[in-house]
Amino acid sequence: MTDDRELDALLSEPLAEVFDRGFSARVTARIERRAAWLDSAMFWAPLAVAAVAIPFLPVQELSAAVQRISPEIAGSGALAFAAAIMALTLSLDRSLQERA
Amino acid sequence: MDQEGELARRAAAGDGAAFAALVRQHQSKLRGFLRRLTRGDAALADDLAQETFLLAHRKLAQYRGEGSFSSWLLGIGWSCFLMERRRRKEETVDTLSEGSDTSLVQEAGPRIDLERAMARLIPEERAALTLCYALGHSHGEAAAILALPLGTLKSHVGRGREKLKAMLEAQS
Repeated sequence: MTDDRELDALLSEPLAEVFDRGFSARVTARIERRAAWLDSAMFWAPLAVAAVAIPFLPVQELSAAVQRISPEIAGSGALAFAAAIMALTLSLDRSLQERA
Repeated sequence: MDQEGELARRAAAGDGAAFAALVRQHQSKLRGFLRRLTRGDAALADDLAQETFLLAHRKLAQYRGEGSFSSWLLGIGWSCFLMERRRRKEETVDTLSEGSDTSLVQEAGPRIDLERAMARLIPEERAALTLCYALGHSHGEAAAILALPLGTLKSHVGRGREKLKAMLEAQS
């Protein structure tokens, strides 16, 4: 059994069929589990980061800053104009949606 | 784009059913190839095949449809095998222990001889011979799958054949 042609023929025999027996289903299930894990990680990770970060927020400094700039924002003509345009756009959009 | 490429494109876009169809289509070939590489260790081969499909799923966007999906998958399977080999620091030459693989005892006589002789080749020779003969790939395709220069691939095929011939002669 050492003839070149015989060796070629033996080597060229196709690999034995491997029956599925639930293999594909296991692979698909693993992929689905991984996707579900990624989805939940994407949801919970920002919440976890926020929960860790919130106690370290400089709340007093932030509220002082808001108090300082609030009168300036309220007295700004440009900002009032922009807010009016935004309100008009939203109400127009809503009325168009209601007609449709 | 052929049907396989279309399935891969749909799978990359998140169509789970398309990827499941690809797994069903290619599982036998991939698992058979990995069983040959792992010297008939069906459990290890199946673990590697699962890893291969998971990795392929993650990398689907990189599949450009230039070669066949099957070749692309076998290339990933070969990488997974090499990583496992590195992890286990497996010796490159080993004998196939008697009765360690139930699938071998179901094969006809000359085939058992071939599998035993194959098991004594280095993995690169096993892979090259399997791809070029049993799976019918050209030398160029096999070199691409194994990420080897064409000349190196041909050397593995030639050396593997010579070793097999000598081993089968000694057995007969």
